[in-house]
Amino acid sequence: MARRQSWLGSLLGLVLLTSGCAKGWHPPENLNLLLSAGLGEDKIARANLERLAQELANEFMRVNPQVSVHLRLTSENEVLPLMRSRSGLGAAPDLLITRVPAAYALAQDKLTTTSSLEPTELDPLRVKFLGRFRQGNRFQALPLLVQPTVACFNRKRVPSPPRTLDQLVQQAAGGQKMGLPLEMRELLWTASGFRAQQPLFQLLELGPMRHSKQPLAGTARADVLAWLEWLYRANVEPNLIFVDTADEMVSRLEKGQLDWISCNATAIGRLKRSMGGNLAVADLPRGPDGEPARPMARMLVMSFGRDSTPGQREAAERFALFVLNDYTQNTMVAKALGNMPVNQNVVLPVKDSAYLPVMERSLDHSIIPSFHEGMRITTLADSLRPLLKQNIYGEEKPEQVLKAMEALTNSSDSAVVPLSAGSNP
Amino acid sequence: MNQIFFELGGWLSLLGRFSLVLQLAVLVGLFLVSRLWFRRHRTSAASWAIVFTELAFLASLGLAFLLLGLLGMPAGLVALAAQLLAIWIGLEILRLLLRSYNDPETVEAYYQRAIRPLFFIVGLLVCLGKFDSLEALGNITLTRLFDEKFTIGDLGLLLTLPYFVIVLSELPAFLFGATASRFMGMTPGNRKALELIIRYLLIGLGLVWMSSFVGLNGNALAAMAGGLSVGLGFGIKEVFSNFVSGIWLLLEGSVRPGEVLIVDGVPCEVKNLGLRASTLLRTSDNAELVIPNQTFFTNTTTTFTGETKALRCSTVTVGADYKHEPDDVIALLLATAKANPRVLSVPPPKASVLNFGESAIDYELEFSMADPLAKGGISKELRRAIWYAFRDNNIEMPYPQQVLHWAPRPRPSESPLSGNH
Repeated sequence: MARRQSWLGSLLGLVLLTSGCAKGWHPPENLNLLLSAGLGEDKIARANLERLAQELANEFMRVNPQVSVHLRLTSENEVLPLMRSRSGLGAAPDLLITRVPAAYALAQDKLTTTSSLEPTELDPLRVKFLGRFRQGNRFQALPLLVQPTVACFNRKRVPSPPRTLDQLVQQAAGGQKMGLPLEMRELLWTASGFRAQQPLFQLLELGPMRHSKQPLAGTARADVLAWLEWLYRANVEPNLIFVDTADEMVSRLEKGQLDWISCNATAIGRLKRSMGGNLAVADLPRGPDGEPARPMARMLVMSFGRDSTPGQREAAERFALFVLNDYTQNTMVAKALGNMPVNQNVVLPVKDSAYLPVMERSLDHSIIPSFHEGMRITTLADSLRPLLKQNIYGEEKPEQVLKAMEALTNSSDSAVVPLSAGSNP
Repeated sequence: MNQIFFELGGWLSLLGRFSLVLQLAVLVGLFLVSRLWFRRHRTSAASWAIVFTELAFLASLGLAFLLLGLLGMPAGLVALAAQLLAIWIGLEILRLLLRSYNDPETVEAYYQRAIRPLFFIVGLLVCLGKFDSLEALGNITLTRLFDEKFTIGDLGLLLTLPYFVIVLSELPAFLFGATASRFMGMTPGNRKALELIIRYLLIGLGLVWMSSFVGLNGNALAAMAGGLSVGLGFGIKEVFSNFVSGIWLLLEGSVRPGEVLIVDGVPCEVKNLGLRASTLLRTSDNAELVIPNQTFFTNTTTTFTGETKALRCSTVTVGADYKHEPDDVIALLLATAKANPRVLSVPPPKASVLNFGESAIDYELEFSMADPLAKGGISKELRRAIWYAFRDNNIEMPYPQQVLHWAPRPRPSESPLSGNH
């Protein structure tokens, strides 16, 4: 009898717990937040982001004491399996902060849903790049921070950073060790100097021309070939070193194996700690004709989980608005070196920082990937790397490499499902 | 502690989600049905019937998974439960098969002490890991010890690892002992001693590894050990003395599991040489004696299973009437001894005249046996057989006889008092 009563008691407790007990009493709302902001091997960047996210969560809880924010971190390559597993349980996080490719992959798998925030709620924040995530009247993700690409170098060894790609090669010939990444996404800025970027976007089915299946021809083809030729000639110079990953390039600069690299601004904090006053940043070198470098900026975005209760969703959207507001964006930029705000109301203290003006100039010329573009280039990255290597090390002629690229993009059409027309204005 | 309640709040908030509650309800419902079935049919543990019932439970989970999938509802929790149940059933089947081919008690011991707890802990971690980050949970700080964070993960490891280090060390020690015994021709006693030494070694290494794994500060531990040594010297010195005695006895080989020792005049078999005390089995009444190791270390120990364990002897004495020729009696005693299968033929039994008693000639029959613990039983059998042999051969076992001579009564005239009348 006593055992039966204990069973009934447990059942009643469960029912009360799930029903919220009584209408007069509101249990605190809990917001599960997952941060996967390109967290790779860079432990310092990871620790900085974790600290910043925890500070933001604490501030939000101070302002909204009825909400408890539970922050969790995961690496970028684990976010998709993790979300599949959690969503399968019905226990997915309420809000995710990821980079664009991960956010796109999650949306493609229907593991996240669109935001129900109205444009009227977001308009006062003047959020940059918001349109790139629009799907009808809703947003598939909300931009949070932008991370531009700049040139990082050791000022002791490189007193004057290269202003053009030609100078880059010349300074390498003069004995300074220059590093360039072997990842297409990170290397694309060198193509802009040869006006080869747009043809490449066309080739890789990025940007507004992504549905045109016509092969490159005429000037566009010549520009891409000129860029590929430059890459090959640059590699002939022993002191201009192509490195497999951006992270490895940063490590080599720290160890003194490289004197100048192109790097994402988020690495500045790590480099500052290891190199101290020797670290300097500069604009990326322009093209031979003075064309500014147009790097592909990284962006952190917020996506919403699909399993949230209405209360949890509301808390998630309140948090999203909180981190997008003027004050928080300003705080984030001040505390997380290498990140730029998406809130246009924020005035950057460019005069007080050696890095912010460079980052701001880089951002002015940067390409902000949309959902589709970010994912597309991530999908193609592994296939493009060997082609780039073949070109750079002279195993194949630029013409053959270009043909291989065309063949590759034609064969990988099925890998990416284009978004609906309204999603990527 | 606040952090733990904070995290608990996060988990409980998931119970507000309909899809999760639905899965939980399905699981609880199916579990209750299966329990009711078990109770009604009184299915005993470790039987194939329980496995078939669990398979039915698994099938119902699979069905629930399919139904939820058809309804477009998340069913990951049901799938997780099904996976864990499938592993559980696999372990049950393995247990039953092993019981068929091995000693069921040994199989049960491993199953209950190692496999089952391991399954529950791993299952719990898997479930927690599905809902939350184990790393984040494990890093929740409970307190600070010696300037180091003491986290939930550390606490969990401290609570579970020693148990598993001790329990799981048995198997590799057993396997090593079995291998060494096979290839090096070790005696069972030496093998058990080797197993115990390996086990203690593994436990010691495991505890050292565990303390470093948990992140206990080595200097702090050394300082603590220094301080404790005074306390150990006065407080629990007996425990350490017994432990060290046990190790020494193992190395020395004087007391090992399987040996037969004489305790209070009764032969007892050493069943186990523990950390503090040894367990001996007294076969005469099947009582278990727990004797501190130090006792063997400081007192004289009589053993029947030393270097010449196959030549342990015993004697039976019997008396025969003076009228029978000693050679005939001796021959009969030897024949009786040889007829007993538990008496060793090599060395052969011996019979001899022990003494000329008051009413009989005392004979002694010496015999050897393989199992010293059988001494009492063999003696009893021999005495019984001797009685029948004497009866069949008309040999008398005389009662003690005493001849009483009455002193002659004095005549009345010889009475010293007669003159007074």
